[in-house]
Amino acid sequence: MQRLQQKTVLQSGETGFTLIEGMLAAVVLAIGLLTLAGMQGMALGRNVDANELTLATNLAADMVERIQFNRRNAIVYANIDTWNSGSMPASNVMAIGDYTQWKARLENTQLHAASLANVQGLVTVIPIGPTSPPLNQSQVTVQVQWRSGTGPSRTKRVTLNSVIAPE
Amino acid sequence: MGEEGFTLLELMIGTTIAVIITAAAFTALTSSSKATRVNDQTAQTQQNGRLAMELLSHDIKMAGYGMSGQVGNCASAMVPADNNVGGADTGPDSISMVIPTTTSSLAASVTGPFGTNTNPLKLVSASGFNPNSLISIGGVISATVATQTGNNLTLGSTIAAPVAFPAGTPVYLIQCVTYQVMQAGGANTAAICGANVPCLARGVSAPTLGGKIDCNGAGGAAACFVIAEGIEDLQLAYGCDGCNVAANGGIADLVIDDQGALNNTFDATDFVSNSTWATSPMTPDAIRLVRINVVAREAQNEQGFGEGTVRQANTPGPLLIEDHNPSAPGDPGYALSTYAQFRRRVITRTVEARNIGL
Repeated sequence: MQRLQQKTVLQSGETGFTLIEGMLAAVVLAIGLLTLAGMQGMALGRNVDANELTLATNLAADMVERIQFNRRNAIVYANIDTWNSGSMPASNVMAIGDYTQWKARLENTQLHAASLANVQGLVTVIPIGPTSPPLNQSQVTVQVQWRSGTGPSRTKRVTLNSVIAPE
Repeated sequence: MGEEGFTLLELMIGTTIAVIITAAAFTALTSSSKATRVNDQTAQTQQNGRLAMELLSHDIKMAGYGMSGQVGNCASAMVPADNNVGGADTGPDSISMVIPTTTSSLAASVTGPFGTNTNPLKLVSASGFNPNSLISIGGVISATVATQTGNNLTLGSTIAAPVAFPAGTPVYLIQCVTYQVMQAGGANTAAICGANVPCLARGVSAPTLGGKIDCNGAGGAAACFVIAEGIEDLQLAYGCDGCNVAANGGIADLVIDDQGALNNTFDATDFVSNSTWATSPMTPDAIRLVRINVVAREAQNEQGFGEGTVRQANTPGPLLIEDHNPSAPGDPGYALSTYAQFRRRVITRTVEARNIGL
């Protein structure tokens, strides 16, 4: 009789999950799943970022190559700003053409292809090296900055630095 | 007694919750597996496009290096091949050019006169060098290989004194390299691309072959290798200097010549897309700038993120690249419904061809 009573006492302590406990577990699981889904979106966003970086790098490399071709007149590319048409080179035919084409390429890529938002291109040219006799070397910095479309809106930039020296 | 089971109601609520959780878990599984696929494909597409652009721009910058006359199938430093020189294109362009490959270096110093049987060029490894190969020693002297014995080369013409190269001087193999987009349906596409069609192939023509190398032609499958998968289109436009008599008397003046209307400005239309580059003064040695456009696309069309198979429109309309519009006059087999299913990436860059016509 005493043994039976003891067993009853033990069994009354064995309660299952309550509904609340089960639901809490479900909430925890749901948060986990939502985070997992969020990670996929984040990964897609990073892919978009990578594509934007590729576009910006190619745009910057484009201008460096153009200055490289017109290297004897590198200084006329100084202070180019695609947001300020007053910064267009004044004299050199190639430099004016490079400015116009670069601006057009920055602001409008091919139809139906991805493009960069609020994109701005900047060039600075600083003469460096010996001046007497002059070597006409220039430190050229081409910068492309744009507003990244994914996540919190922020400005990103790609800067290419190169020393351009005519032979 | 405290031994009570579940009531039916509790059991049913429990089951319902379990079902909802399982369904949610399945949806999450499906969509994350699909999203992973999309991510993977997008990343690969971008990677392929970047790779193709890097290799192409690198080689175009080098085109003509160490050249001294015809190399393989390249009569000039650069041999542009527009898809349709008569007007709008219905497919990708291709290009052949002469470029150096760092293959070997000098094992011992040489002093001129050398290149003879008694004083051959001693390389660390002569693998890849054949009779008739054009080589460049340190980018200074170009010569044709006459015979190859082990790692020693004799040259077609003796390099006279006073000339000396130290051990370790790089020896470049100068080759005619072709870049060509292999499209579905091409004769050698399956052999070159494998399962990933379309692809960008890079082919090296043997010195003995005649005519321009065609990766889809006879022997093309052995000469060409895939370098980037998923490259759908390659469009090239060339800026030339001294190629238009009307613009500047046909004299190179370091300003890209006007094409069409003579307006004394350098604009986007001064890049030539349609030309055979065979009529003087419009010849490849006048090319100074090359605008390269690469279109990379996914290997397979996407299926959306949901449970069903939904073909999304990832490219809303045909991409207009230079003189190529896939819809007009129209690529063979073009249909917007299937074209739109693939995600595409377009990369454009202008490069200077540094070693042409100097």
